[in-house]
Amino acid sequence: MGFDAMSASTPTTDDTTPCIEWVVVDGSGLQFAFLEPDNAVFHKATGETHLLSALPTLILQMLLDSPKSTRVLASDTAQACETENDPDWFEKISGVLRSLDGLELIEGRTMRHP
Amino acid sequence: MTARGTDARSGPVRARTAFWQAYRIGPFLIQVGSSIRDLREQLAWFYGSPLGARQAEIIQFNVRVLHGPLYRRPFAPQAVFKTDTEAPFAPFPLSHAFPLLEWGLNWCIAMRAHQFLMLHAGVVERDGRALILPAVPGSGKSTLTAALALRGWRLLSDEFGLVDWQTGVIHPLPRPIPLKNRSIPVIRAFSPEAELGPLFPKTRKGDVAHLRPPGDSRQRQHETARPAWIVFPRFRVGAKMRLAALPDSLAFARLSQNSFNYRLLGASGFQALETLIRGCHCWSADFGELDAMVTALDQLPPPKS
Repeated sequence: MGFDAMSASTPTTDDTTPCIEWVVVDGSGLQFAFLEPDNAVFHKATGETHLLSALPTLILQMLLDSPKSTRVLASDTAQACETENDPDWFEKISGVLRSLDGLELIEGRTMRHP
Repeated sequence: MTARGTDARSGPVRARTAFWQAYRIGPFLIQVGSSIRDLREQLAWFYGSPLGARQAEIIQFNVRVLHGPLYRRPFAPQAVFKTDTEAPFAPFPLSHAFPLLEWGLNWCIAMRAHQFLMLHAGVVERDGRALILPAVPGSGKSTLTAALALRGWRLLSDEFGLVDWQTGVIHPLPRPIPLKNRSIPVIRAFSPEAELGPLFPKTRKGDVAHLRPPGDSRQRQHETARPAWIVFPRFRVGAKMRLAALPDSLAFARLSQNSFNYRLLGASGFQALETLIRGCHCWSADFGELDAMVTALDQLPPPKS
């Protein structure tokens, strides 16, 4: 149980390369317990329980609604958190996504730019 | 599970078994067979009268404590713990047959009683509400549980917090509390009413003496209780008593780590733990003096609901 930062490939957002869209691994198997100050998440696919702070929980919930790219997530979370979507924020979101990927809660899926 | 009178009584083991006795202990029916006659008296003292043949029909745990190899008997006699299918531990000295049986029963329950979310915790009850004391070995859990049982709380269990993961209630499992080393004189001094069994010196966990479960706990062993408080105790020599509210998420993490089968239960365990945490006040406690800790626990706030 825990929220460990683990390495994973960083999705690229360059317009000339394929974009990665993040999806929840077995989203129907996620259970949340909204506690204080962190939230507990049980993931049926791995049998693991994770303690997540507010931002990773928000990202997971956004991804449960629909798959999103890092760029879209950075924008949506910045709006939800009432903060500026600057390069630092983008990097922060990328880091959280890498961690969630490392925990096998999400995975990257290649998509072509429209 | 083993139906009474089947394989465990057959074969060569039967000839070596001096007695078979069945006991109702909380939700379990346990049958003990042994070739060691002293064990019969110790079982009777700690657990009361065994069940009659007609009362004991379905046995959950069928165990034996037998003499070890014949060649060792003249100089270092041994006792061996066996279940229906295996002998999970190395032999103990014959004089440690009772602690061996108790640890063997712990093993059986931890391995098989997955109809419960099993917490490694002492549990006591007052006015129908349970105080759960989850802790790792060496944190003073048994000593504290014993002290509370001697100070008006009903002993539900020293080792297992048996949470019914469907209803959330806790089932009693009133068994002897194994006090180790310095805890033995501490409990003797704490309460002259403490009924301690024989001292078993130099066991694998040091000197051990068991506190007999109070009569009220044994008589009410079918009365479940709703959890109200979770306190993670930690004894440290010389520590000042400190009771600190624990955030729910931290309590969740610590409780999951103090469970024998949380991972095994999967989503059911997760839900049971969430329900438990939401229904309880959660605290961590440091203590260096038993009386102060017991007094503090006597003054916990009223249950949430």
